Amino acid sequence: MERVGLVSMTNYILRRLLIAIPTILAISLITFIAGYLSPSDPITIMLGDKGDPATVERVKHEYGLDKPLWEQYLSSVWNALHGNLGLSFFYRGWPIADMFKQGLPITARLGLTAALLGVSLGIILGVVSAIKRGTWVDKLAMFISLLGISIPSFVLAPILIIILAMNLHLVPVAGWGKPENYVLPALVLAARPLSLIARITRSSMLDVIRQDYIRTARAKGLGERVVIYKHALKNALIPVLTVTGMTLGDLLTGSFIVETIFNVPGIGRASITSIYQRDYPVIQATTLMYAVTFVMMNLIVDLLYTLVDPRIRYS
Amino acid sequence: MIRKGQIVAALGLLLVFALVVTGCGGGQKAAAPASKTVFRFPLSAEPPTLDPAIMVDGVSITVAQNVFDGLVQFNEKSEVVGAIAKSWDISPDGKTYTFHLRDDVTFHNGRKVTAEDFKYSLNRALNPALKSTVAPLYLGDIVGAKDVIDGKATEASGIKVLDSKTLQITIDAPKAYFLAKLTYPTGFVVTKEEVEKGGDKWTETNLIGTGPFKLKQWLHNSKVILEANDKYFQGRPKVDSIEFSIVTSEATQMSMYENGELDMVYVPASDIKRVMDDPKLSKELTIVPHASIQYMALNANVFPPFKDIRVRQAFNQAINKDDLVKVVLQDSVVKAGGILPPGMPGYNPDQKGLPFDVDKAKKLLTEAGYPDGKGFPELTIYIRAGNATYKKIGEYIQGQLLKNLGLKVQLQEQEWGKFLADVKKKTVVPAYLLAWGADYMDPQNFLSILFRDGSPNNRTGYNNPQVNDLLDKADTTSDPATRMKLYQQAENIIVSDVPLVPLDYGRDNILMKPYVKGVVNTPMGPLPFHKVQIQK
Repeated sequence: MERVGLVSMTNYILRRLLIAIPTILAISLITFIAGYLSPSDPITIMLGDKGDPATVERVKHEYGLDKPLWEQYLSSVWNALHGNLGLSFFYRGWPIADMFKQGLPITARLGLTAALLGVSLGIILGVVSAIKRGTWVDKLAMFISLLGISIPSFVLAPILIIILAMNLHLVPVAGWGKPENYVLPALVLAARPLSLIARITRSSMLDVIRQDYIRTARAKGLGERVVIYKHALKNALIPVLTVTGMTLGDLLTGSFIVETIFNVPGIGRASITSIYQRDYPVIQATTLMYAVTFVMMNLIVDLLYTLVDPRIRYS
Repeated sequence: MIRKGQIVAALGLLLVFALVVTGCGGGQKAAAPASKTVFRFPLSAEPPTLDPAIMVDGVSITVAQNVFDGLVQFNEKSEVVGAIAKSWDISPDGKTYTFHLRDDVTFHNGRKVTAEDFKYSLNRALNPALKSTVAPLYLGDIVGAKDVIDGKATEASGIKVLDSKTLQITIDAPKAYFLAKLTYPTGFVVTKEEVEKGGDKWTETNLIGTGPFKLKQWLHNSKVILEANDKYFQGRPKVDSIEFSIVTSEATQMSMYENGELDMVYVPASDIKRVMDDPKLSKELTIVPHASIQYMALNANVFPPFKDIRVRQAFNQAINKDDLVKVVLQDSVVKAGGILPPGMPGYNPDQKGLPFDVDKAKKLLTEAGYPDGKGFPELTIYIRAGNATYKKIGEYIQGQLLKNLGLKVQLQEQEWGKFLADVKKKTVVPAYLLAWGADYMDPQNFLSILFRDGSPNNRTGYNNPQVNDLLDKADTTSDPATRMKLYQQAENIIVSDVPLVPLDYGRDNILMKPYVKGVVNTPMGPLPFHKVQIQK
């Protein structure tokens, strides 16, 4: 890469990262306030119908929940900046950093498997149906991708459980730790990105195939394989990349539901549970983590454009 | 045009990829090697803690009671019997308990249990640094306990070690239910050296008890695995290990059971009808009473018409509870007449409650000044949001009051935390649906806690001096038969006073594989699993 390009690229990244700081701070403030605005508190929920008011007050005091709101917020930000995410209220004495250490790799591995599955199958499906446009192959592929987009994961999951686990006994219903445990959650997570990518690839391919330079390529006698994979597909992939970037977000949010249904001990399930339990420190930490991940993913996708399409420049 | 071979290649690639991702093969390998027997039971949530001194929830207790023991325990008939204490004497004034410990009890680390260990464990639970929310309830009766909770002392003066095998506990007043309270995990014995060695993480690294099983692995949010303690003083467990899978989704639990991935499971309300109608599953179904009652509270503190006993009785008698149980709740529960649920000591099978009688209810309401419901102030019944069962019950009651009394009441769903906080304030919610479950199997835990004037859980402004007297007398009487009689007298009065409308008693609908033997299900859940056998 040229020197000027490199400098402007570095500037661009730095600027984007700087803009991210207020965004992330704002998100943390909103999460914090929303948590405290919601009626009731974690101690009441922890005790349920039991425990007299005196005990509730005593324990609230011991957790510092009776301090002024601004003080609680500032100290949580201060601690987070020092890498101390604090302890979970509900899971007594469990450091949130440990929770992340255990849950994040699991969510990431599952998400990555689903992403690989979604992108590769999506592109294959899209290319095949573009080449076979109008045939039954195309129609079938597009029908499958329509289903994948329209069926929500909490419906698709039980359907796959019934078919693949309970009827065919190919995989276990739920659980974690063995390779076969990946199959169902990864399929459900991948369904939507796969379908979107297949449809985008197809229409983008059809678009590109009609371009002059493809006709030129064919006219100069190149083999069909070279035309499709070298000339057409590469250019057709730019919109696909955009969609992929967007659907990676789906993978993150999808992990909430999928991890709960399939009993996956990832960070998605932990964050859902923390919301039910009003486990403020965990809600704060997981929301921040998701916010940072989204910001980073957007940046990476933007940067990837330059690699695929050299015409795009950042300034 | 693209060649056919390329499509074949693409499909082949797809297949290879799918195989790589799926780890090259199906087949479910849930079962352990044949030589080891495993009992597989789900937990509905990650245990919030495995420290017995602070646990408040059933999930944690399910695990902890298999790892720890206390001085006393409940047997299958819900009677208090010895655990580590082989016997005990109670002083004539009913305040001093002298426990004689067994000589053959060792911790998982091999050390013998002494009275000193119990003194340490009980004082530890009371220590404010532990922030235990349950210690005041279960150990607060011990002389000097409050000083420890308040940070004024480090040891409760009422806990004394007489010698290494004798422990003396003095309580502040004669309370016949004190032993029942000691069965709760706050009374379990822990090991000082291991707790200190493990520090903040002792429940993960040094969870050493005396119980039938030892902690092998606690994989957060995934599973807890226990293995048999060969030297357990009540006999080595019949299975080699227990695998508690943490499965938060009820539907997933059911699917896993039906797919052979779990040996026992609680049937969710939404599946009970299907299970009962299924020829195979219905044979694996066990129904046991659960020590709980669902009720509608009528709060006279907030809603003045409820100060009139006739209005309260009219509400009770205008609701057809037979239909509620059969039609609305599909027989997943049992109709409640009185307050004490089946299985609870003092339960009175003859207590039928006020009968469903629309004419009588109408008459009572008219006498109270609201003929055909005219002039009755607007009333809202509050229910917990997001709970299908409460919603169904609420809508049914709404319909019954309209049809039978001409009363238009509102139904308000409220988020659980807010609902609880408001209900506990006593002065906010006019009427609400809620359930009470046993903390320990003693009628005091239901009647005195819910209806004695001054109890934090008496939230409807109910104050009947006669009931107060009967309950005070029953709480301190030592002869069990006399006690139960006193409680039943109090229950009779409470039932006709209607501070709350009893609706139904809980039931546990449990599916168990035919090869599982020896699970003892009580109204407070299963007993420790050391007698469970897998006979495949």
